Amino acid sequence: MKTHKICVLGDFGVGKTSLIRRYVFNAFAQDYHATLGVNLYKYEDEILFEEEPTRLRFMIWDVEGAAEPGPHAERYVVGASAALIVGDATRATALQTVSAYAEMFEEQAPGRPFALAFNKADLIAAPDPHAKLGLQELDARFGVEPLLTSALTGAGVREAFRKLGEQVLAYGL
Amino acid sequence: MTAGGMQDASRGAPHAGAALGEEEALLWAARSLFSRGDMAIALLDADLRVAQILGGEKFAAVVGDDALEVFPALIGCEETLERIRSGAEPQALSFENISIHSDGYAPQYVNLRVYLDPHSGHLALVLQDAGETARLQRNLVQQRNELALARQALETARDEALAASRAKSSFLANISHELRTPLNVVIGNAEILRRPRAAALSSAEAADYAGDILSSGELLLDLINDLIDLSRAETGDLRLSESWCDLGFIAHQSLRYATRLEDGRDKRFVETADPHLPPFWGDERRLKQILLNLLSNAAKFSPPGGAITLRVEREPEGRLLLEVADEGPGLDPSELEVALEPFGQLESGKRHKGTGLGLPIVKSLARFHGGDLQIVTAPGLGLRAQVRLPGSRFSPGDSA
Repeated sequence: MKTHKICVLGDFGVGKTSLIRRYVFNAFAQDYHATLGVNLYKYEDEILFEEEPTRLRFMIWDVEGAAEPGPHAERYVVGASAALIVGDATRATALQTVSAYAEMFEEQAPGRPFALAFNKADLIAAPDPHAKLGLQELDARFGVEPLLTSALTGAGVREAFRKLGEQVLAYGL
Repeated sequence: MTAGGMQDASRGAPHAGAALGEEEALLWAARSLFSRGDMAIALLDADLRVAQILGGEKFAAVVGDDALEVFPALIGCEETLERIRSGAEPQALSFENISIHSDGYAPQYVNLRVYLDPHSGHLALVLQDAGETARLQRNLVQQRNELALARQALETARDEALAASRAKSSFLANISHELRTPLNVVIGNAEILRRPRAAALSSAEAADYAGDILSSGELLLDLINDLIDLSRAETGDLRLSESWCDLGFIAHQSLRYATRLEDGRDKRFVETADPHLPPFWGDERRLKQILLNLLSNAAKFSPPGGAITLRVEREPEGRLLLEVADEGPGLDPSELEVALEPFGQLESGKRHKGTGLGLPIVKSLARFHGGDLQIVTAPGLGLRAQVRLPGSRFSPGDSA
């Protein structure tokens, strides 16, 4: 079975590691532990693709966060099948940072799918969080419907990674 | 020597005072470097297997293994490796501070760099245990990020405090105006009635002046009651006076009162209350207040002749639904957020009577009953305010 490299990218402190740990270990810790360089996580999941349960093996790259994508992040995405780009739904700069990472990934890994996740959605008390965060703008710009996630509650986390998995299969990667 | 590694730094060390040729010096330097054991070169064969390890005891055991298994950071990079091997890719592949995590596994940081060894034609993989350097680096990154996150949190708190202060100032300005207007009517009319010439007023004229004083006084009382309710709700001091309530009666009474409101007189009210609802455990006055606030809000924003529909029913999953739908202009999501804030006041709302406290009060009262308020709306499509209260408040033995 082929192993797919999935890069998780974004600003620091947005919850990239927490999302991965929620997905891989179904665990969450309140403490903040900065990631240096990249941490690799192996994980196998079963994804429903074209109504067939399909097993997928991921090598998830938890890449050190930075306010904007730099040469390090560009190097780390070499050979990635897909990327999960994460923003902090409570930060005013989230849209801008996520856009910058999406542009970088499109440039460095053309034709590879990516998903956009706005984490800490449990902290958004708005009747329509998508509208509050202006996420429709990203949908129009990248043709990717942004997802709301919460590593704390687990909401949307499995869905985000599985959506990426479905795209990896759909792209025949 | 292990797996082709150069383990002994003293072997071939230059004697003091002895001059070295360039090649010899390089060889000695390389031996010294690799003898530390935390650095190695892995030569990969055409099948991406580890053919030979030079230096680094830690890495010696992997000779013969699949490089992608041993160094999972190379997974996905097969095409890039092939390009490097064929000379099509002049840049080396380089990753710093790679660590492999699994549950309970302490991170070991490794730097990894792949290039084409011109002598053997093999891919050469330089591995370096980043060890202590990485740990120090990580501590620095941790401190830098924590500082930046703390700064962000402070800035957010400051912005929120400023916004709250602005909202309260704006609210105070608005509420002062709302209080002054009916007070002016009360004072003005009372002065007219007190003047000596008041005796010349007909009894109908005097009744008009007195009627205005009464309605202004009632408006003032409503405003003050709203403020007290909101204040109690915000501090958690609001107490419900609960009993078994007849929801049909509450709906009917609220609707009747709404038709008498100034804004309600030219609207069409439609009631679709389920007549068979079981008794509901709640605060009758507060439940009426919820409905009346929603109905008066709908009346305020509906066009003349517009329909306002009140639904009171038990949902299939058992909850009580109190819904008021209007044919007004509706709201866009950003306006909706403002309308639901305790001190928010919409521009459109400012054209109408009222403090703009109606929806926040409904939301608080719904929450005090264990439920919530939800608004379904879009510009041009009217507004549907839905209060859902727990089904457990219905009389036992009357489940839906």
